[in-house]
Amino acid sequence: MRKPETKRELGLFYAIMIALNGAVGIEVFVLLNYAIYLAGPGVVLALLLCGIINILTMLSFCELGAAIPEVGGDYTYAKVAFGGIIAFLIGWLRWLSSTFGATLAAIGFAYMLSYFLPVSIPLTAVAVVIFFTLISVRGIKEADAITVLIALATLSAFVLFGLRQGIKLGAFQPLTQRGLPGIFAATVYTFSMFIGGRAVVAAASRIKEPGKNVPRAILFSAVVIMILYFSVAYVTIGVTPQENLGDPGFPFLTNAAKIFMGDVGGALLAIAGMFAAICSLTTSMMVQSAIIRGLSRDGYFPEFLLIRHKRFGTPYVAIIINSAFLVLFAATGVIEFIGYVAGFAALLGFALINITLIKLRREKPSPFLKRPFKTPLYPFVPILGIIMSLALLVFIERSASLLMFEFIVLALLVYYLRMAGYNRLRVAVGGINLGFVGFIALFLYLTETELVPLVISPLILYALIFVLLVFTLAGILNLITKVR
Amino acid sequence: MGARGILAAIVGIVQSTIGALAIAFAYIVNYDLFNIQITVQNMLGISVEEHMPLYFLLILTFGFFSIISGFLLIHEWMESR
Repeated sequence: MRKPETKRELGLFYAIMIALNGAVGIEVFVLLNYAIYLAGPGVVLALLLCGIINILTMLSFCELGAAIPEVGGDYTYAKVAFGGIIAFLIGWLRWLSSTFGATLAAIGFAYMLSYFLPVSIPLTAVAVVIFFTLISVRGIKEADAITVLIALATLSAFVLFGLRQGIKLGAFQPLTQRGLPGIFAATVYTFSMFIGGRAVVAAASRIKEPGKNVPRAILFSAVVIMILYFSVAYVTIGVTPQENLGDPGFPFLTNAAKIFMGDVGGALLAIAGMFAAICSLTTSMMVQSAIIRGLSRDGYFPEFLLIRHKRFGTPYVAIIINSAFLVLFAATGVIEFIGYVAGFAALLGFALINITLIKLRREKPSPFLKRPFKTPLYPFVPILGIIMSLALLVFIERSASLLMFEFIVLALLVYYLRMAGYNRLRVAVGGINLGFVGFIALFLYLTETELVPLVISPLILYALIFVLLVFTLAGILNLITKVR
Repeated sequence: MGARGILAAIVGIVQSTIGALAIAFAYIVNYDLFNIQITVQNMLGISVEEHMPLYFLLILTFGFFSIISGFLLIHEWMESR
């Protein structure tokens, strides 16, 4: 194994802080509200399930992070195990997961700000992305332990005040009032709240004694956030009136804080949420940029993404292109949709990491790959992780599944571009263009001859003829590309 | 720069623009911004809401493909300069 280029200088405390920094983000402040609407009191079961699936896969991360303590985390493991399409797909999913994590943070910040000011959510989210893009281009440091401790302290205070207030156990009866599908949907929706602990594997190259400290930090953070998030949901449900549980737009968390901490409690939670949002946004933007540069170095993306700013030394091209995607998603201002998509990317990525672990155990057994930490009850634990992650994808919202399907198709296309070469791709694109032309021409023929009962106005007709001409020309130009 | 390069540039820009507009349209219809679903229903005489995810997927696919094809043509023009 190649020696790490960076110096190992971080001890167990900082490893735990990195894991918690990734895990305690804006997600709990914004996703829990809609999850309560989806599952009712059953949200506590959903969070428990999330925590279990998370720990199952975090055990795989522990083994891989301790055995391969290199820069890049998941993408590096997949390169060692598979290379090719699987490694690229994991890198792509990790990039998507960070992109949606950053989007969620920007929208979440806007929601938290709206507690104090009457702001437009989409506009504020876009402004936040642009502001932090400019700061990132100038260069920012990772969020420090203080931000994590503020969020942890606020949530812990929330739980303690709630427990002192007294929980109405009747509020949990019946626990499955929205049915199992509601609980599973809430599980997918809130899953991205739990996954941040893997941040420590991305920083494994800087951690002292990674064989011991990486697994300890990952498992400690996974257990802490499972207990914390379960307690937050338990307290929130315990003090919320039953009639509010059916309201999808109800701010359950800040309302609960108001009930037992007064107006100051609601404001404190909103401020802690804003801190957490900034922390999540900057971390996700850095991860996003690192992954896209890693994929560029391996030739999947153009080399210009590696260009650094002459004055600031930051990868500004990668940052700006990533931010363009963030602006596009942040402009929707829709938390629910982004929450589902982030959960989808995370679950699929987790399934692939468990597959990576199994592959490495079979093809690079212990004498060839030193494993300071071994996943217990192998192969049952990773197999259970795969089954549970994939089974939950069924409960994802349809439009979110479709968007993810699009992104996976796009990933395959990018991979094909690298494998097939430029000229073959041009010929394929030319053929698809002419296929579209054939389809549009047939559609126009069927509607004009009234074989299909569809009313086409003259404006739409002319627009379709224009598209037909453009695609014909594009098809021919792509097909007769000069071979170089 | 030959006539083919200029033609590739023009077609590429137009095709990419069509793709971008298609994606914007897909989002506007999917989220029913400006109550556009009713307008589309009146124009085409079909219920849009019923199969919205399918239309959304189809228009997004068309849009992404259009942008990729357009970019390839723009790339050809840039290489030929």
